[in-house]
Amino acid sequence: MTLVYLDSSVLVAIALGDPRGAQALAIVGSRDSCTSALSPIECQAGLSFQYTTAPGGLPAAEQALDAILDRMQIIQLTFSVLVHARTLVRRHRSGIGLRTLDAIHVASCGEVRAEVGAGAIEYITSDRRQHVAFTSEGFSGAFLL
Amino acid sequence: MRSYKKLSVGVKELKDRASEIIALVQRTGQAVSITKNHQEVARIMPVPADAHERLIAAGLVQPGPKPGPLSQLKLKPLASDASPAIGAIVRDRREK
Repeated sequence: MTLVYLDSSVLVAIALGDPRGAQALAIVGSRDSCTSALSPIECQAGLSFQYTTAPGGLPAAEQALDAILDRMQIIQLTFSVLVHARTLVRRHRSGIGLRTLDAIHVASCGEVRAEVGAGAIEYITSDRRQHVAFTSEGFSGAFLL
Repeated sequence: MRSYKKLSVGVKELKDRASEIIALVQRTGQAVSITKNHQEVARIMPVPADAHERLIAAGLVQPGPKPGPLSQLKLKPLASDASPAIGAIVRDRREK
């Protein structure tokens, strides 16, 4: 069964109840999901910004995010992920302008693919450049606008 | 609990019986140690069939039970538009 990789942009949409989150959950369905160990940090930055002017709402959003992460396989930032990310930056920096954090998400997906097999992992993102980065490495998935 | 006698073979025996040893690992799920001068220098391990177990074996996921599916999660809607949070994440990724 395919594993679905959700990046941080989609995780905050799910946590907050944004329609893109509902779309992502519909795509995932009953399949298993995963994300990078980097995502909780990115998500915290996103949620903290979302509630800058109304900080009282932040704890509920953080609780929702934690509940989501508890149901996901968290891909560790292993040495092999970091080496893979460096290779991706070397390959795509001048072409699509791949940045460090984009590369870590794609490399995490790439290391999972190496273990479970090509075609056994898909991605979902709401970040257009992340979507371009995934497709440039041959992944299939969904970009939720 | 089932207990196994630890299996180990020398390099020469590995060369001579490689197919047999790999078949043993596949059949029993048990690792076989490779020894050189009576010291363990490598192991032939079975590859788990389950994707979650494979990710754990590769060190990509921390050991533990597989999490339940996201589809069973019930969340209260908190904001109809997550664009500020998504925008902040994208800016964090791209700002120079």
